[in-house]
Amino acid sequence: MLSYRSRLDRDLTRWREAGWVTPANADAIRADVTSRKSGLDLATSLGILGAVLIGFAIMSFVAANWPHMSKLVKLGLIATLIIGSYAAAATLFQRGLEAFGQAAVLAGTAAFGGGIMLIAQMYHMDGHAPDAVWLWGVGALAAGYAIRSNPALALAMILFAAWSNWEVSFSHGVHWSFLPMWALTAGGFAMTRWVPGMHLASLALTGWIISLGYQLRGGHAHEVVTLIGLALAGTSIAVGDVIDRVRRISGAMLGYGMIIAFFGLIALQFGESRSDSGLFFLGVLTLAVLIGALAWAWRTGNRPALWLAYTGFSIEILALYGKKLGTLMGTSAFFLVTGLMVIALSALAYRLHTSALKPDALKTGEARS
Amino acid sequence: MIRSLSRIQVGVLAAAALQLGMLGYMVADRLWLLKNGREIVLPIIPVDPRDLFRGDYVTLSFPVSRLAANLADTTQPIQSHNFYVTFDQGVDGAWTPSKITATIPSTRAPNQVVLKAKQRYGWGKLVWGRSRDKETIDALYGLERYYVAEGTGGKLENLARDKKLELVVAVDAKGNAAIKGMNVEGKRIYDEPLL
Repeated sequence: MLSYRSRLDRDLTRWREAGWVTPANADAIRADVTSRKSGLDLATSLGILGAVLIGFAIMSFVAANWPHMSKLVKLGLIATLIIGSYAAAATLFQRGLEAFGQAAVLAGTAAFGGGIMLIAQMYHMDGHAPDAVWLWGVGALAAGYAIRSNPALALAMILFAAWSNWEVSFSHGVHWSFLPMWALTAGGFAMTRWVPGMHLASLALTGWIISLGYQLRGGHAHEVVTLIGLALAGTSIAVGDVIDRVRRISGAMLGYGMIIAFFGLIALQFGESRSDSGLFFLGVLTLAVLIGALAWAWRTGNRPALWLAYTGFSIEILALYGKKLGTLMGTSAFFLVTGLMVIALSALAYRLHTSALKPDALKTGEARS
Repeated sequence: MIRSLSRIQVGVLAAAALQLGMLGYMVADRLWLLKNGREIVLPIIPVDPRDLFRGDYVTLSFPVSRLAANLADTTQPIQSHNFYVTFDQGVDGAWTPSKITATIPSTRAPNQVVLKAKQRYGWGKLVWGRSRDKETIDALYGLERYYVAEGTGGKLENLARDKKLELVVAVDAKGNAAIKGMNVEGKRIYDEPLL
């Protein structure tokens, strides 16, 4: 948000100097942007951080298993914390203090998690430990839907991801049960139309898809992961305009597709032991895909995808350098050839750029970012 | 309350009620098991690590944590980790495993209880037939953790080194078990308060 404002500020100054925007209009635009800034200000983030800290205080208190307090008193304390947090939330919402109300909801849901741990400890329950995390997630999800609370939904998504990871560490198989819980939580984010939440959901699903490579077919299914990623990125490039008419997600789709494909390719290249020729082929493929993504990201002004492509490119060449293609001479030849190819592409891009109509290119670029 | 509640307040109320209800159900479930479950006594051998969330605990291990694989009555493969161990009470009062089954036995003698168990090394899917090739099955009964106040786990360990420790367990008809208390040399030294 801040970067958008500062960027807009810079552009407005430039446009006003060019005479496209009157000083009055520039001020009106600035005022509009300031008034529409999301609730993510300092007070809100501090409120949420405070709730998180209280959550950890509750968990540590439970873990200490303090003997000078009876089970009943501890249970009563947790119940009081839950009731108190939600009562505070209701009051805060009523007074229009939405952000602080959300922090109170988060504290209540944290106390609920503390309650689960306390009961498990009280009765020495040693069942299937991930179940406790799942149950906590269900409580958070319910609060998220009932109160339309983004922080509670975010906590639910984090808990379900942790639950899924834990389950996989027990059973070593694809954890299909993650998908319905993910869909329910993502549905909550769709309901509240909270963009950071949707990114959190996408990130969780991205992690799950990447993990498929290590679970399917005895842990050697990274080509499946790569294909899913390429399919996502390809769909975004091919029919992104159509998708964006429903909801503007094609840019993000490209980014997450790139991440998935890249993790798949990295695992194929450096995890699975392959021949030098195999590594060579995959290395060329990875660099080609990254350069393709880079070109598309420039064309559409997709800054996150641009940075992902740069980051991926750096990781890829460092990894290839470290792994060596046969001999160091072979590695050197590989980098020389790919380097010359990329420079040729760069020359081509320059010629395309200078022959294109500059204002047009600028307009589409700004509209997408 | 006279004035009507706003939508969000109804939501807050619902969330609080639901979360409290879930916790209440957990407590009620355990209380029911501890009150109505059949009481059995198992000898124990403790060791000591620490849990990330729930604090210090003593890991309990039982002579019956390792079961002879030839107690398994079937060669049929099972797809889950759960299996059932039938215990018989001898004339001396001790409970010894007599049978391992994939599903819960429909009938049992008055001197028998059934405990639900999992394979300790239950990676992937347990093939029932294969466990017979091994000589033993490592079983977990959900009774392996005994939570103690921070820093006091060592005491219990020392006790176990010199004296004979036993765990008092409540078992329900479905094979669920809960820790009820602890015996030293056959005498109840610790009774878990219900609340």
